[in-house]
Amino acid sequence: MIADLAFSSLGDLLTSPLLLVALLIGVPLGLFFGAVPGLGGKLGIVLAIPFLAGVDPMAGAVFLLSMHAVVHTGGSIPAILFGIPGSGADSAAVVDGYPMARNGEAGRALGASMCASGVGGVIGALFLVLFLPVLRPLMLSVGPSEVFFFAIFGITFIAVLSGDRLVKGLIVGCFGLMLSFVGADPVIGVNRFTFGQLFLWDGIHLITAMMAIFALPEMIWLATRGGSVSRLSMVDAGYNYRSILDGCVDVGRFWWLTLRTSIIGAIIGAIPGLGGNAASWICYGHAAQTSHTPEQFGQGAVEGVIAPDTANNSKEGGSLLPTLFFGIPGSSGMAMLLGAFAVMGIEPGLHMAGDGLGLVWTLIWALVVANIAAVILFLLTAKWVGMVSFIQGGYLIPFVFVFAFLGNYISAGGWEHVVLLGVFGLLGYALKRFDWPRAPFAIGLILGHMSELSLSKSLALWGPTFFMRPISLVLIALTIGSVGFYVLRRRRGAGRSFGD
Amino acid sequence: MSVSTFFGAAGARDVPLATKGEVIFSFVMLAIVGGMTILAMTYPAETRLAPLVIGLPATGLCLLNAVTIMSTKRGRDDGRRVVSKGAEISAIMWFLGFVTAIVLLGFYVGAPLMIFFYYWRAQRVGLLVAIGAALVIWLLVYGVFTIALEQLLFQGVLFDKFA
Repeated sequence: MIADLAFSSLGDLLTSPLLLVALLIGVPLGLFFGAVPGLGGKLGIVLAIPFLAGVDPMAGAVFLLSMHAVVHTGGSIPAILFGIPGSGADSAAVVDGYPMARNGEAGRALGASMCASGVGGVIGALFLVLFLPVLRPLMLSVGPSEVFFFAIFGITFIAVLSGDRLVKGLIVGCFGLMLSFVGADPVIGVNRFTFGQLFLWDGIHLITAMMAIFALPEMIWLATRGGSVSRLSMVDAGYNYRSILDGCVDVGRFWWLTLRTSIIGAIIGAIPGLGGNAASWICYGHAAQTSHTPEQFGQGAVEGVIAPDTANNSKEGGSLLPTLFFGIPGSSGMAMLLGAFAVMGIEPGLHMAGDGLGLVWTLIWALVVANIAAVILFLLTAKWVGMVSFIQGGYLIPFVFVFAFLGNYISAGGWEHVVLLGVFGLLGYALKRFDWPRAPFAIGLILGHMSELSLSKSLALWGPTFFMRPISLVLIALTIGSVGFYVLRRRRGAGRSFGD
Repeated sequence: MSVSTFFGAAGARDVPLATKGEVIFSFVMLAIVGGMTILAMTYPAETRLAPLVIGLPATGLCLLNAVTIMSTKRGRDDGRRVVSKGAEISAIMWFLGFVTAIVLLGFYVGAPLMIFFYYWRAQRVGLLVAIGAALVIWLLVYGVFTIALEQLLFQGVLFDKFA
């Protein structure tokens, strides 16, 4: 009976002109909002809401979800070509995607990114289906204590991502953690490191920090050395459609990594409070830790593109679970979607498992079809998109600067953040120039605030013995195992230079 | 063994060399992290806990790094430099110019202006091409963000002050 409902929903989606049009408009719009730095899926949803009043709720929901589902697919494009992430979650793709473009492998990076995103999105949707029966007890048993230890688990990747520059990497990771403390402290609300500036009360905006540390230094360096993003010419790089397909094949070649990171991303997405940005970085760290060639990470390892991109898309499927069935948004994007659903008269809740199952299945299929459509759309245009990496940098850099500042202003909301972007941009350039690893900074910044907030909640709820909770103990064991694995690998000499 | 010997064949160095810039930057990081840690000590107990837990070991690591860098032989920068110092300073100044222009003049004026000057002076393209590029960015900024997306962008501190 469930199978009948599932396939009839798929049939409805593919044979209904209204739903199909909604999906086919949503996908390119989602790619656009993802590809322009700073816009993001949330802005797309907000802008679309006024147009959806009076529209068929099913069509409206399909449109919004298809748009939102492929935002990170689009966000990888500027991340790979220019080193500018479309959003904070896309910044993990910069670390290896941009070096691949520099090595003349832009096509391969884009192909791997798009296919990984598509596969991740499909697996995320399947996760939604398979874990529906067990999600409620799982969610109810995850609290601040588990979130804290999950954050600690992620923070241990700072060491992994530092490679043989361990001291510098730890310093940069700690610096990221310190920056995450800027703003009001979660315990008594006292402002820290704000210097009396109102715009810092909410902390350092993630997109500001990511662009400043990862993207702008690359553009400054490009302006310094001249030439194009790619160090090789299009002829020398052998850029053609084949290189894009090679990237797609890489997703199959690293199928086990793809599967693991898709599942990890979906789980992270399903647990409210962990944060979607954490998914891509944790999966990136996991890929680096488990790779047979960790020294390639940061220098243009295709696994460094596959891992975060699968996670970015699979987490959307995961985060749809608590959103639809409990009305608890699994991410900030889902929070916007929840608001949009309310406008359209769709009321999430446990009844979705009963009379709302038709809508649920339609949305699941919309996720699957949207991700596949994004991959097809991209593959049709990829050859021209990737050519940008061979254009003389001097013609690109000023436009990239403007869009970086624009994206930062729109997402952070204030000219002061433009100044902050400039200051941190110089710091980021210095980190690059003097060979300090930058990836640990992202881990520290993303997970610092989450870990402090969840620690204070855990202590308030359960006292000092909060770590005795069953899932917390599992996470502690996982963390110890992860650190032990890292130490073992370093002793064997596998954790060599982690290029930047 | 002289410093110049180390810049002979690639990979001939036996001892890691620190340039002046690396030494200075290691102290800059020490100053930033150490400064934040010292500042954290002035906060109430619950507020300063997390920053001190992270900041104190981080400051120690910065000190360790700075001492290590100081104790290595200092080498000349140009032996390993792959770009000229002039090009680097020029790129940084253009970047700062972009920041300044956008802060003072906003996106509608500052962005096209800097595009124009960058194309004209840094890229040495013709005047018409530079003006065309500036026009393109203005159309993109105004057309896409302001008209299509209805996002009123920052107009610059100077224009805000005198508006």
